[in-house]
Amino acid sequence: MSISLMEFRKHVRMFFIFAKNSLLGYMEYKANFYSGLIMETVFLLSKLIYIIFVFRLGIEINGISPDQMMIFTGTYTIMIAIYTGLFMDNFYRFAGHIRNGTLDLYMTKPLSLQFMISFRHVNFAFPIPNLIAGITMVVLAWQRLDIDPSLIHLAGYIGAILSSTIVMYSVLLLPQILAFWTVKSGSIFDMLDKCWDLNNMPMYIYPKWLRRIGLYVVPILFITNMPSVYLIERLDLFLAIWIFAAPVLSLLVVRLFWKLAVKRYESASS
Amino acid sequence: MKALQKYKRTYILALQNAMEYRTDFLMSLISGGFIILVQCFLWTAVFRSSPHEIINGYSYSQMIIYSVLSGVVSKLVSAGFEGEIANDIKTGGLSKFIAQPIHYFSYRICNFFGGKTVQTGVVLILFVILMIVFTQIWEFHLSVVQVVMFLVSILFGLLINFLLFYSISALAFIITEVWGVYIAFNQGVYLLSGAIFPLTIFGDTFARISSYLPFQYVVFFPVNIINGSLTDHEIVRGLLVQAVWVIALMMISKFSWDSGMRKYVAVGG
Repeated sequence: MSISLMEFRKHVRMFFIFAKNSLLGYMEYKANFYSGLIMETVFLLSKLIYIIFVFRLGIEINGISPDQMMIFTGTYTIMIAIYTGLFMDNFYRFAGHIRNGTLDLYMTKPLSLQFMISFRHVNFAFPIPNLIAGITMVVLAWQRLDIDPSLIHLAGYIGAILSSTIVMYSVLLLPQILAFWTVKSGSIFDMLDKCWDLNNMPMYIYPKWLRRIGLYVVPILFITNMPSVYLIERLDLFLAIWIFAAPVLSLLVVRLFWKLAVKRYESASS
Repeated sequence: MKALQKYKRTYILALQNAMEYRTDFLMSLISGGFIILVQCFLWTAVFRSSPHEIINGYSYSQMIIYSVLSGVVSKLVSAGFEGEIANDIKTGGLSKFIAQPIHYFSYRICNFFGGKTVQTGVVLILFVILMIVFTQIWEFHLSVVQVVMFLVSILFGLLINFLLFYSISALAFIITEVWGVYIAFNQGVYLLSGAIFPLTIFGDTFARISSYLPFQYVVFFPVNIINGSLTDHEIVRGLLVQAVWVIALMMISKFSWDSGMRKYVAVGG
């Protein structure tokens, strides 16, 4: 038990060193930082257009009011901040590690290989506009909807975001692992990347079958909808159980798949 | 006549290249389909929840046709060469164009249209299929004049988009790490061209301002010709505005490149 605790501590410490390392990189190449900032701000605007549209329309869409819609868009923006900050840079590099043989080097390090692949780089430019806009939207909508700002509500919301983050990590890493077989990051990842667009709007605008697939089969809709569903009190018993079960299940699947893939890896390069 | 030979060759090379990657374009159309899907579900939900039958000047069928076609047209007219130009400027690849008897602008435009010829073919096939589907579902009429006007406006739209991106790519003469600006510009044009939402949903003032800008003539205008929300008079006026913008942007691109070239130092390469 104490060994695993020490290992855990070591990995956390390493994560902060990786983050510091990435930050130093940004300070060295400031132009990259500003370029990223400008780019992400424009992308954010294109997401905000949806919420502007809903407010201009001013009607309930499938029973969701504009203010409730703002909770969804705000949460979506926060999730984008988490994805771009922690995972995006690492996932995009993943296939390259296999192709160029850098994975072999990572294997020799005294850290978990999956951890090295997943958390080596932290992006500081992309999450800034998203975090600011996302939190602002959620706070604003929270007030307008008169949701009780109690500690339990806040803890529940943050808990749901944590659960969604774990599911997001698993769902988006899974297709990347296929690169062990295909050496290239395939079209499945591109497809999933585009599926992400489905989160532009709350899942309630989609027909039931699509909602079910997006929540239970390929939980891409789970990621940005669950925290909001909790806040607007639409969480039924089944979803409440799923919010706890999905992260455990998806993490387990991705871990097993990872182990299987590494077992049959035979260094593609050199 | 002989001078034109090299541009014809450039055009054919780009065409062959695009032929090679035609499935790639088809795949990008399919993966772009998700955003169209979101749009269609959104509008279906909106029209179902709203007491009105016409929203922002569009009926339900017009809105769905708009959403589908704007997705396809925006993929067709997209530029995507600005990164190559920036690379030419940054790494000195531009120097060989200065030394050789080939004009960079003409080279780029031949290259662009070579690639677009094949993509237009793919889109036309898709267009015919879509139109058959739409006319089957709704009482939707399409005249030959509309189709011809649509094709002309697409050609102008392609030209406008090419010139916009050619002009902005001259920024690489001043900024070395220009990729962020390009992607931001790309996304900005995408929004202002009406690729996601018809521009009328943002109110009359916005619509009026944007009618004087070149962006809406890339996607919004051609698609509106097809879904029948424009009168003949408005179509002719729109085509004229497109022509004026093509001339204006030609002058802007010439100016931006002339001032950029004065800064350019051919080192290495």
